[in-house]
Amino acid sequence: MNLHGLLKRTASTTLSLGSLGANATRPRRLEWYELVLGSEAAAADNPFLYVLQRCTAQGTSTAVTLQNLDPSDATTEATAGQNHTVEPTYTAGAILLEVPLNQRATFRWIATEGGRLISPATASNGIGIQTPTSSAVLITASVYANER
Amino acid sequence: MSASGKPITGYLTVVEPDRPLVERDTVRCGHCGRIVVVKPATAATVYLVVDRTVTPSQIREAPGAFCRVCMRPICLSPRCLDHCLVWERQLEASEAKDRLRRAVGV
Repeated sequence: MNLHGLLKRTASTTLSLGSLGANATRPRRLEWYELVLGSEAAAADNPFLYVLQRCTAQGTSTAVTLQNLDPSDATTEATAGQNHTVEPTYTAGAILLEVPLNQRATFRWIATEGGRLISPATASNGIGIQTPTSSAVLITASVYANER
Repeated sequence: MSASGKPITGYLTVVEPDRPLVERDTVRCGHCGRIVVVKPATAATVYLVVDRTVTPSQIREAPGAFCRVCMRPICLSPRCLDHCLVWERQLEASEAKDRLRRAVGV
């Protein structure tokens, strides 16, 4: 089933923007096929670096309800969080995408079936979005994923 | 690999006021699943990588890499360049280990 998650971070400059992961007891694969990154704050020239990295635990965050794009689908098993207060447990070196971006800019990435970002159907495994370079403004990630 | 046989499997855009639209193709590393941005019109033979040694980070060009065992484009991490272990096999191994762990209640 196809899912959409809207992840936001308000003030921190160091903690993760958000993460998507498999359920701890009923894990399923997640395949990210579209990602939009940007900021809704007033226009300003601040540099950002967004880094997507694999994680094995989701950390502590505000829960995000993933929306089924087809309302007739069953409820998703995946979990999502935003505005982290405790970082996910990131896998060292498992960086999946790096996006340097100005605050004024909007980034969009889409993938075909063979080019998606896949996280395994392994308990609590997933992908988190970090910002090693950042400013204390509202930033947003819009994630579209397929759960199977 | 896309249906057309080309390695390009993704596409990105960056929209910024008063600047031209940036469009780039991407490929997925066959060994770790990382998304790599490729230089236009190079058929994935030149990658655009983020140089984090400078602040703010910059984009620089680097020669692309291709695994002749699994016949897929790969990223430039030493682990992926060292030997061929396709991503699907790693996924299956991780999931099998997790299924076993949950079955025995660990």
